[in-house]
Amino acid sequence: MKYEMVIGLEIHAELNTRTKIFCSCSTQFGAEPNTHVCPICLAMPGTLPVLNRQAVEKCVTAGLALGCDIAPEAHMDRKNYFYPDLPKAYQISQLFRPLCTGGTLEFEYEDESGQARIGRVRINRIHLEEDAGKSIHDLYGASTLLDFNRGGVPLIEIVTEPDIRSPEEAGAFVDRLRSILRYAGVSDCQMQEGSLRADINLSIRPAGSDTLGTRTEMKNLNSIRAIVRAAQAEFLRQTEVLEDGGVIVQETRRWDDAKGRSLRMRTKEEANDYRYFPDPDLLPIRVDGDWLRAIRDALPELPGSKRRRYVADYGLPEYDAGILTSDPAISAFFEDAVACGGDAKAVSNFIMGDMMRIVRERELDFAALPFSPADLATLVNRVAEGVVSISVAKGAVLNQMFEAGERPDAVIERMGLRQVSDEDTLRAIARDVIRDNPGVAQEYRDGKTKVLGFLMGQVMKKSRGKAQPAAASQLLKEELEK
Amino acid sequence: MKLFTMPALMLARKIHEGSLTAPEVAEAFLGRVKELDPKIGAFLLTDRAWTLEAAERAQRRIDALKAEGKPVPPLAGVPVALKDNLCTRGVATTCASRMLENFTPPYDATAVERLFESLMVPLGKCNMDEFAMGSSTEYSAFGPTRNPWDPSRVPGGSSGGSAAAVAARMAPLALGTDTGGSIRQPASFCGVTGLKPTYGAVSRFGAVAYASSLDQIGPIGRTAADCAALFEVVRGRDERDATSADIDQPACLRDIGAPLDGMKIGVPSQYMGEGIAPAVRQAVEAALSRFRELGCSVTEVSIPALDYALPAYYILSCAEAGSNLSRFDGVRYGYRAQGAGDIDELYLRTRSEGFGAEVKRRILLGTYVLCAGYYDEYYKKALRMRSLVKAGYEKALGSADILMTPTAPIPAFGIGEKVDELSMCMADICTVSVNIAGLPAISFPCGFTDGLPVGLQAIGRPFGEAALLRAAHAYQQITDWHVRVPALSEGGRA
Amino acid sequence: MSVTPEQVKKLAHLARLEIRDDELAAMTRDMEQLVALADRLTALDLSQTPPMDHVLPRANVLRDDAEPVEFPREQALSGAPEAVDGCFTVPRVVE
Ligand SMILES: [Mg+2]
Ligand SMILES: [Zn+2]
Repeated sequence: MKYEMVIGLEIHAELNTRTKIFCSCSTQFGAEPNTHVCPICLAMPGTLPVLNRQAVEKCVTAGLALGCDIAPEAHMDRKNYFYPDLPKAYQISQLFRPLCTGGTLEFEYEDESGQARIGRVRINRIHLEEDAGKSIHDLYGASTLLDFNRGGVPLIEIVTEPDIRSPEEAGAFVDRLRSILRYAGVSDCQMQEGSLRADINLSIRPAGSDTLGTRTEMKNLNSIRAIVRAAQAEFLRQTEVLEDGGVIVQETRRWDDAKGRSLRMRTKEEANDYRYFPDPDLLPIRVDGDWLRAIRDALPELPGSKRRRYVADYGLPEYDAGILTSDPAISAFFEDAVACGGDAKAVSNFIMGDMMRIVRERELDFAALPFSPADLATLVNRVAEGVVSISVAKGAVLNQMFEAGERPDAVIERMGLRQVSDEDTLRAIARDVIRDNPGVAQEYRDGKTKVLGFLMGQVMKKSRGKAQPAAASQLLKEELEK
Repeated sequence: MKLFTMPALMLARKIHEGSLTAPEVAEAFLGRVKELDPKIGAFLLTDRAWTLEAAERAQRRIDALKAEGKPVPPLAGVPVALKDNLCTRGVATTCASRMLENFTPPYDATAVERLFESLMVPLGKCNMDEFAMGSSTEYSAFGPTRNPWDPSRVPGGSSGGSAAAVAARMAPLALGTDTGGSIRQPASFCGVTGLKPTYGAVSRFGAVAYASSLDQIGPIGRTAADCAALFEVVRGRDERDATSADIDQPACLRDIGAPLDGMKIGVPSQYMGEGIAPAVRQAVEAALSRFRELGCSVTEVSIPALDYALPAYYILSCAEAGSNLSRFDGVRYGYRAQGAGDIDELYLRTRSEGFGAEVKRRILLGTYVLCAGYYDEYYKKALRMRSLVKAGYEKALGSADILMTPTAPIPAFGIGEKVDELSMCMADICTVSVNIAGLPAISFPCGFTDGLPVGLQAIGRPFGEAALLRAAHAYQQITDWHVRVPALSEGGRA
Repeated sequence: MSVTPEQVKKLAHLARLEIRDDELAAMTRDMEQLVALADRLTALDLSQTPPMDHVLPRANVLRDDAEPVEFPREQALSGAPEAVDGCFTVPRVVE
């Protein structure tokens, strides 16, 4: 029998506030253990939570960015369970009255066979909650160490409807979601730092059926690759179970990305009874009127409309527009460079080609490069003006800009990279090349004109890339045909 | 008049005048605690250095303020005993539980901070029912407190240590907490005055939570005026407690002497019938006629929802408590069972060894009413009942200015006498509804039966503490119940 | 509703309390009394009355996301039953 998979996702994103959700501790990542903790986030007796206004606003912003309805009155609830990384032994979350409900996300993706498709996933809800601390298991054999720096960092949990039908679609959804959350300024979505994590709920059913099978849940996947692989593996596992005549057990599983397989954590019977109830320490949240308007007004342009604008206004291909708008820092750099007078397509080529590669290799951030968008515009213009060749621009000049933050004109002058179009100099180089390659020159003269490319290459090499190609090519031909 | 029989405001006046100093007063009360407390057990801790340093600091500040011609806070230099669920920085805060036997908070409760700001002097930490769960102070892990009027009887609870300390004149003032009557009922049993403020009037930050939507910190003193003065010290908006009220609360002490002419007193029939001991009812009725003499009208009112306040109270308070007390897990502070092999064993043994039986019972009930399938039947229904109780009170307080009831249906019972769960709950029957509705209420002495004090409860509108204090004060101007001193503490009548 | 010893055990586990076998009967009896008290509400039809989770008529009591405040780690760890390398510790947790 042929099965199809039904996937719903629960995504946790850490909000990029300065302080925690209920206390004034810093949310900064990577600090020494327990240096961002206080009596409140350690749940010392008698301490009380006070909700961070910006955490509420960022949750609402995420809701607006995903087309959700904002609840006129929301409330925080307690989810009770014991775990050593949860200091109060309850997580303050939202069950009964979440801030955001409804909403949809549309996105393009390529399916398994590489065919372009449109995904459309409904958002069930987005709610606000607090993160737990971190258990460190592996250092000391007999104990688990607890670091509560992350405990109380604000999170939003985004719950989708079970609208996803393939691992590729799931991965693309998370990718687009991440891009939107970053655009909206809600979360940094650093998956490797755990600031964006996904839980996958997956069930299978005979293709064409519209009933839902028993689902399993896989927790805390922290890369898109892991999401795709875990969904693939779980689909295969469930298919095998059913084909062997077994039944799917509702359970929580843990994905081991290194081993490429999942393990059972607990079954539904072992699951907790969370005894949710409204947190009596916190009063209702009412986001309405002026407040809601202000949050809506502050919402930046989101990638979808920005992409359409890039195609329409800059005449960029869909593909380029999609890549440039995938990240707010990249698109900001692009737009600034164009605003500084750089040609859009040329700037786009620089960014999508060499710059993104270097940024990736050196683990840099487009928001904090050693040179400005204006510098990139200058460089692009120098190429257009014929001052430097494109290869020199993308090579030595760009390299030096990344290396030392040096202005492009300064690099060109200091390193003598100006393109050479002076006839005497180029003619001399052409003669040298012909002299050094008599055989090839003869082939050309015998009518094998495609060796011109090789000879041009030699000219460029000899000029250290500085020869102005059109002029050089013209003079080379003249010298060959003498 | 002996120093320790003076009301707090009189002590403050003498310190202000310079005829007494704060360290002298602190020494006198520390001495009295040392002498009497072995018979009463009101204190879990006194710390001479903590008290005397604060007294000296207060005295220096008082002298400086006087020299600069600036106003001195009304209770400056006066000692105050603290219920041991109020966090005190650097001083153990146990909640009378093994669980927190060695817990020293690195912070002060906001109310404690405000005592210091007003130059008051902490005298020690008072016994209570463990985590404030009880009505007799018998559920303290460190032994019961005895009623100064009859040491074979309980002082009430859970703020029994605070009330007994004030009754035995070991402290001029005390702070307690009240979740379902825990200030008023022991005040009644011990013959002192206790105020449970409107929910939100006093910050709860640093008061170890029992039931967050019901808990309030309040003063216990010998007179309504003393309570008014202490209430004004601790109340007010606190940014660390989201549930603290953001309003200008009306003055209480300034107008406390205003006449009661025309004040309308309503008497809920639900609290004057069956279950109220005849002697208690008689004392309350006699007090009501004194209020008529003071120019008040007294009419019976009926609030049917009050009949269901007790079950609603148990559901709400236990549900919140079960969750609030989950943080005591032996991981970050407090008691930890030794030798646990895994985390679950650590939890189970820490919590089983750390909590007493009553705390466990309430946690279990709280767990029960929130369980899947029971939430709507119990918890949500109790929230609906809260609406009815609040509405019932609102209606009654629309026609009456204040309401009066017995504080407790019976006077202080014997230690070990109330063995079953339900008869203990009944001690709170007249007080719990007030917490459910979030209203202010005061208890003050209105008579004696068989040598034991009887308390009268007055309930007011939200933030209507001033009217309650005024009524109690007027009554205390024409009666002497509140100045009687238990024989145990020598000296007889002051 | 009546309360069974099994239920008490289940509740005790959820609340991480250990009820020894010799305590179970008494605890079940106590719970039965408390549940009987709570049950006085179950007969009522309150569906027309809205639940009130808070008596304070306030909303949006929030704090600004201002400059972070530091708290000394020694104090954070000062009450810890056990701490290693700036961390609280518990017996090894196996998931
Ligand atoms: Mg969650
Ligand atoms: Zn903190």
